[in-house]
Amino acid sequence: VSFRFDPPGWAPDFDAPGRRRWHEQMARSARSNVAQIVEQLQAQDRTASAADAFYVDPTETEIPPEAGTVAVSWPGSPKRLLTLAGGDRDLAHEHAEDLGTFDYAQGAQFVTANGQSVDMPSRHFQDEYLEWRTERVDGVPSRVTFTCEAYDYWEELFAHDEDVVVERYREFLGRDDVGADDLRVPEDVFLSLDGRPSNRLAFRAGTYNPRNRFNTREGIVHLTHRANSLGAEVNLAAISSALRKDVHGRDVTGEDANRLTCCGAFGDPNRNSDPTIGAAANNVARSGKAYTLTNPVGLYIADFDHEAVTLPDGEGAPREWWRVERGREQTDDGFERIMRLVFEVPGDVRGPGGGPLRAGDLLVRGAPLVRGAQLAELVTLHLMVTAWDAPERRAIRAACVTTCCVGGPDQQLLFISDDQCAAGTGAFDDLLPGAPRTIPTAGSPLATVVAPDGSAAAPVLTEIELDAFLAGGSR
Amino acid sequence: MNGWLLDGEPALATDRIQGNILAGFFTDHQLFVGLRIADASRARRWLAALAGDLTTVDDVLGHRARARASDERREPSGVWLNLGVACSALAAIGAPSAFDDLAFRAGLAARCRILGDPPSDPRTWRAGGTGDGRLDVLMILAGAPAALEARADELVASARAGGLEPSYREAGSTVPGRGIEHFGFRDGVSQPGVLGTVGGASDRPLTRRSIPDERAVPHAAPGKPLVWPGEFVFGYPGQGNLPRRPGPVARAGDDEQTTAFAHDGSLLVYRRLRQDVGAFRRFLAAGAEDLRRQGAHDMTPERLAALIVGRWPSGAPVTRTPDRDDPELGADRDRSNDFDFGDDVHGDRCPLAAHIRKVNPRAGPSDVSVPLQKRLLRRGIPYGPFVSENPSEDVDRGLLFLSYQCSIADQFEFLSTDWMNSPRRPAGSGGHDLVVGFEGAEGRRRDFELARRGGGPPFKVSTAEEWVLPAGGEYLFAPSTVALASLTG
Repeated sequence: VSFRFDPPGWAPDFDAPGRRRWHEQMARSARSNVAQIVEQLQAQDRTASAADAFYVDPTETEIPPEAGTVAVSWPGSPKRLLTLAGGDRDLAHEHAEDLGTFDYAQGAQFVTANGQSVDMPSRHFQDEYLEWRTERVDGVPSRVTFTCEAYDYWEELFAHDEDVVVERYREFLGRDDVGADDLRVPEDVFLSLDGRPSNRLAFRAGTYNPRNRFNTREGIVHLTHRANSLGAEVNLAAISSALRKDVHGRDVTGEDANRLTCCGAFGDPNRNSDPTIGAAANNVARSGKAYTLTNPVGLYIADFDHEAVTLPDGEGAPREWWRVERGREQTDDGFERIMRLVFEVPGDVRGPGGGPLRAGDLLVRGAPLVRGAQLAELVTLHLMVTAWDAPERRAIRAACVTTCCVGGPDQQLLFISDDQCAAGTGAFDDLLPGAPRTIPTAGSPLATVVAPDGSAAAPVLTEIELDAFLAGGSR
Repeated sequence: MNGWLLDGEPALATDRIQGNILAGFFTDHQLFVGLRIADASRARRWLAALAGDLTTVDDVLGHRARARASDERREPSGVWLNLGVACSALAAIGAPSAFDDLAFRAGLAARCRILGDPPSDPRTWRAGGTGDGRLDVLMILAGAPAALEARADELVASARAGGLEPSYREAGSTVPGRGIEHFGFRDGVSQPGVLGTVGGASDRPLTRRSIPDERAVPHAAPGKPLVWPGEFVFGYPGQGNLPRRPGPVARAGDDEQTTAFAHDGSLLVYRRLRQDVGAFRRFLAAGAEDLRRQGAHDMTPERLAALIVGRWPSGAPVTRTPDRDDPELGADRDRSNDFDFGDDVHGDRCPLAAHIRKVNPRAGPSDVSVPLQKRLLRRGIPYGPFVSENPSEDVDRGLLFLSYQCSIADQFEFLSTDWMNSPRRPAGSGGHDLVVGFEGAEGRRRDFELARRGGGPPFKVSTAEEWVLPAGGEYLFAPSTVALASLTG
């Protein structure tokens, strides 16, 4: 099989040995994903093998010429944050660009070996594989930059060629004071969940620091949220190929994408992205098709609804004010692979008062543009799946590996659990065998949102409490 | 089997919720009457006094139960009356109007561009807009034609005396075939069921359940999922992340007065959609020929129309009968709705951009994890003569589109802007909704893709022609009878 994994969006970063390195990295992840699926299928049928998995390792199996490609898309605006905000869109928008560490866990801190605090935040509410940063002039938005490039790609790139990473940073940020040492983890960094010194190594000294200041507090180059990795996305797109059944033997399908996500433990059921991707991949498998992720494997911006942005007089803002800075909008297979997108009003455009027109003078679907999150609502992401009929693969239905418990505002947040939930907090009663637990397991992610008596945490979310509900750590 | 209820299903105040919202009038004849406020304080009193005349859900359901028992027609013996008031009109009469919904606050005329509509001048709209047709109040009357006109005359006379002026009047009718719209298709086949019980604290579900409760997403009947009522009526739990659990309660705004006023009410979208049957048919003929040239040898205009809609004229879904219409299947309410797109990921049987997939992805590919949060209760009725009655192309005919929902921005407008008008959403690709989707970009070109049997790049037809021409309507609020009566003071 002559298949080669190209870098996401055919990015021209790696040299030839680097491209081989990237290919090998992706091939390893494809093999391990198949192994994980086979393990789950074998729990049902000991004779199951890779030949029964609907997700295919393309380095092992030739993609037939009749295979067709479909896109799976989702909106880039974080749904989980909206739930955290109790459905209050303005509140969600206000916090969407917050930096912090709740993508690791509630109260997570990064510390050195001797317990000193280290500032390594992420855009911890932007968890739909799209992150953005708004630049302002006198408090008014002037430019909004979007990226969907996974941090693990940049880790590999840095490990192979620091210089090119530095070059890209300088290019994207338009500044020449970025050096390789600025992008490196200076000393071992540990994850502490209680503020005390910890021996949980999070970032090794000398490796690439994806949460460096140029990619967080001072700029945006690629994704930072812990869950926004290419490995995680490929894994969930692969694992969701397993057909599922509940404890009564009934199919668990994408009819309820969140339920399927809770059953198969792929990703976060509170997002739009993960359940959507999982349900779509599961639908492909359920229709008897084998599939693999389309080369170059990646997450991409598919589209932006530029017509939703209007000038103060109601005229549409030109599409050219959205600038594709990395990736390709036109491709041979017809599927866009945009990786970096900037919205900015050109400097020579005048506003109604005669001064320069700023992004903040525009309207988004009729509302004044005050935050980048309003533009994020116009951005659609996608990934592509190449599928073909595979009648030889057996439809073995695997049991659920997890279920979900509820918590948070209006009991609307879902937390993946490998054990039954505390009484009254189970989202589903038929995914895992056994009766509800009377006491939550200490130390589980649920412990942060479920009180010891099993009741859910405070039902009403105020602005101050917003971050307190981020449980994280469900991966 | 029919009596099951989910835990937490609320008792709906069906004695005060307007009947068309949750029961649907669904009569063969309706009359829309628009009013403009001339004198705000008198108009306020007039509206308050009208509360007692409004038809409630209980009224409609009661009539249907009696009709069923006595085998009578479903049509009401008198005239049913419902109404909606525009946000600006609520403000003008001093009623609570601090709704969160930006679209509702702005009104339809201000939102046309966002909806991608072909350019039209709201000052000249026959219904709604900013000229003589302004719809401060829209009354929807249902009943027998003669009775409708008489009742409308009576209401208009009373309104004139009460500080309002008539601004619009138009009859809708489904004759000659129940539920058939002007392009020849059965309309309104698939509506969501609504969770909740009727008549206060009874254990009688609003939506009758004809199948046992054994699906992950509760269904009242095949293809009829049950949606939490807060998607359509304020003050009730809406659709959350879990289909079997009540979601957050639908609130109209932060302001307590508005929230209380909106309780048991709903937002109403009225769109006057002119249909150009000739343009649609010409496109079908040209499009079918284009597709045959591309290699889709069995393509006919009739087949292309069915693929664009997702159903044949009888209502039979192309998913279940790909090659020809099946009127028997179309007539079977359950069977014609018993399908999903979960195993049709490429759009092999039903195109990804077919109208019925665009507005209701069912269990198929969708870009939002809870598509049930995007449903509407559609209550439209055609206007103008059918082609069978008057074949002229110059006749004004179309659909008086009505939908009820709690968020115009997140439901009606979302379906229009994010799904129907998008060439890729919700299924990832496939093109625009060619029935009612628009492309606001220059050129207004819309594409529609058909999967090629046996794989390969899809067939594609494109057009910049438009056969649905929205020019009129309004975004309104349909208050409960109690809220309307409260305007007395």
